[in-house]
Order: sequence, then C-alpha cells, then structure tokens
Amino acid sequence: MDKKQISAVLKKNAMLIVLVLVYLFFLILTKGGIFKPSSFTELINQNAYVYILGAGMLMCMLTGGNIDLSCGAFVCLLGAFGGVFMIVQGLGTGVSILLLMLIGIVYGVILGYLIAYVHIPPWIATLAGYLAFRGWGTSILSSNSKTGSLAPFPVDFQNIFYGRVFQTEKGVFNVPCFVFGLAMAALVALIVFMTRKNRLRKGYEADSMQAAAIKSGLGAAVIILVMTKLSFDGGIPTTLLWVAGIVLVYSFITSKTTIGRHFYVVGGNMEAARLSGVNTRRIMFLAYLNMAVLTAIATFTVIARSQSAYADVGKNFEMDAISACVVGGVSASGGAGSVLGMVIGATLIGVINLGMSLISLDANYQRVVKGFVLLAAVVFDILSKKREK
Amino acid sequence: MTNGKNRSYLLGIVGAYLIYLAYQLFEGRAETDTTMTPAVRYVFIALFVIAGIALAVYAVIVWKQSGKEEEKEEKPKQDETALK
Repeated sequence: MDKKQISAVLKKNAMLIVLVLVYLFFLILTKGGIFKPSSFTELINQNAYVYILGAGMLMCMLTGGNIDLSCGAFVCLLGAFGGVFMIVQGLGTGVSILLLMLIGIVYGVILGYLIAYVHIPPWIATLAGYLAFRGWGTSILSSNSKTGSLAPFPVDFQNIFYGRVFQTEKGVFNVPCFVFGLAMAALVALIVFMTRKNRLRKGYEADSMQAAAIKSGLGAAVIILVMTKLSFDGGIPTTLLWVAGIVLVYSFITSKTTIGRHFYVVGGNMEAARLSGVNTRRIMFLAYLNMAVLTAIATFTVIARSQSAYADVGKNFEMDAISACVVGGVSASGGAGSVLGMVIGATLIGVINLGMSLISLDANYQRVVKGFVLLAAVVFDILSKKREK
Repeated sequence: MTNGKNRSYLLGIVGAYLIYLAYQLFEGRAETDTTMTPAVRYVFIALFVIAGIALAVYAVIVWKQSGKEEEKEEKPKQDETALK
C-alpha cells in the first residue's frame, strides 16, 4: 500500500479512527471502567434517542441542510400524552402506542405540508414547535399531576422499550445472547462479500478481497465484542434492537432505494432534481413526516428508560441529533452524508458523555467538551467546503 | 430556498447554541460544589461567546453570498425570457 492509498483510507475513515482513539483515551482514564459490560449497556440505553433522532435529522439534512428544531420539545409533548393515556386514563399499552404514533403522523403531515407545499422555511416552521410544544406538554403534565410529572409507566411498555431479550442474571454468561451475536457477525461478513460479488458481476468498482476481508473481519469483531459484553450484563437490551432495526432500515433506504437516492439528489441541487423529474416537494414532505414518526419512537425509548414523563424531557435533543450528524460528516449544505457516518458521530458523542460521567467530570466541564466537539465538527465542515471550492 | 441559505441557518443555530452554553456556564457561577474555578469559567464563557458570534457573523456572510448567487442564476433566465 503506497502513501497515497494510506492517506485516502485515513481520510475516508477519519471519524472512525477518532472514535477508536477517544475510546482508548477514556479506557485509560476510567481504568477500564468504560470496557465493563454495564458500560456497553449504558452507552446504548443512554444514546438510543440520538441514533433514532439522528436518522431522521440525517434525512432532513440530506435535502439541503434542513433541520428540525422541534423534535426535543415534541418528545416532551408526546411524553405528556403518553403519561395521560397510559397512567391517567389507564389505556392499554398497545392502544397508547398507536395513539402516540398517530399524533406523530398528524404532526409530521402538517409540518411536511407547511414546509413542502406552503414553502415555510423549515427552521421557522420547526421553531414554532420548539417554542410551543414544551409549554403545551408542561401544562398537560401539571394539570394531570401535582408533582408535574407522571409515573410509573406500565411494566409491559417498559419491557418493550427498556427491557431485555434472552434475559438472565447479570454476571452470568448468556449463551443465547452470544450465539445471536455470532449469527449477526456472520451475517455482516456475508453481506460484505455478497455486495462485493454483486458489484463485480455488474462491472462496478469493488473492494479488493483483502479490503473486504478486513472490513468484514473488523465489523464481525466489533459485533462479537459488544454481544459478549452484553452477554455478561443480563441479555440484549430491547433498545439496541430498536436502534439496530432503524439504522439498518435507513441504511438500506439511503443506499439501495430510488427514493433514498432522491434525498441526495434534492440536497445536491434541487432545481436540477426537479427538472430531472424528481418530485422535490414530496421528498421534503416525506423528510419531515419521517422525522416526526422517528421522534415518536425516540420518545418511547426515553420515557420507558426514565419511567416517567416530565417537563424537562427532550431538552437539547435537537442539538444532540444535529451534532451526531455534523460530527458524522453529514454536509450542512445537504446532498452528502450516510447513516453509518451518523452512527459513528452519535457513538463518538455517546462515548465522550459516558467517559466524562464515569470519571465524574464536573457538569460544567462536560458542557465545555460538548461545545468544543460541536464547534470542531462545524469548523471541519466549513474548511472542507472551502477546500471543495 | 437555496442550500447556501439553509447552511447559513444551521451555522447560525450552532452559533446561538454556543452562546447558550456560555449562558449556562454563566448561570452556574454561584455553584459551590464545582471543580471549575471562576477564572477558568470566565475564560470558557468568553471563548464560547466569541465562537458563537463568529459563527453567527459567518452565517450572515454565507446567507448574503447565497443570495447573490441566487440573483446571478435568475438573471440569465430573465434575459432568456426577454429575448423570447
């Protein structure tokens, strides 16, 4: 491998390398604390909402750097409704989930229509939600509870969004969990080689056998490591299944479907996309409808984990999702970015947050670090854009 | 709405968020159970305010530049229509 090739590989995988280095840094700082099984579970549970909202924010940003400022406040509002449905009214878990999804869809339709067809700038349309929803959610909570919060959610709701699959005692090796991990690792390796084979068959450029082997080996190793850790921490968190499912679905949509490619085309040049026959309004509408639905799913994971609905839930969630996307290499002008990049960005921020809390770093310093990470990502985006020009 | 303008809004929002972080640090200046000394706190507040304002100013520059690019794109279209 010559210098140019090494440089290209390093550039392509820069954020992944940064993630590994940051993890190693905290591994030393926490004296191995971040490598404990409970830390892996905590990383997934604490950051599930970032992955889910990040997937939605990615689709919005792909269309041209558009964002959704209302998702955090909408989590508060949906949490309040969820508390009223499940705790105050005593409606069943299934019915409540359907009602909350319906509210998410209605909001998504209204928001998507206002942005795509009435042409209200997204940041204004979603700013209205940012300002209104938290107040609305807080008033629902205070009118239904003396403490201003509603708890606890039903056990079956918590099991769906904050439970475990193949549950066993912590510290005891969970064989089904490990076997599941081996199966997933084998599947990833198979997908990498099948993709390479398909590309070669169609005459496209493909990774060398060596590169494919390294990719699949590393991917499989990470999966086996994570699942082994989870095997010692009582089983697979259901949050991981939700996150993995959403990440896989959106990865497929953005890379293998026509409509996924349309999101990139609209973000690359909307006028050219429109003249090429892409229904740009429909893409914008779908981006915001999709964001609202994913916000509903993120809400379920958050309120199941906190086991309550309260007024401060969802604070700064929109900035966490935007940070995950920007750190993960999603372009602020749209048309570029990937689900994998967003996942790496979200994981990097999650590792930093978890590492800082494991070393009991002062909350003020944690804010400083968060700010610098976001600033560094934005500066990197600005410099990349200038280099392109 | 051009991508340039959307980008400027995102940059402006990040700038505002950095100023908000500075405000949060300022609000916590009376905390007693913190390891952050007042001097360090004010240094970070100043850094975030400066970075936030710089990003906001850059966002305005990007917004104006994308506005000019939009005008340039529309002018040939108008000339074509006039020729017809």
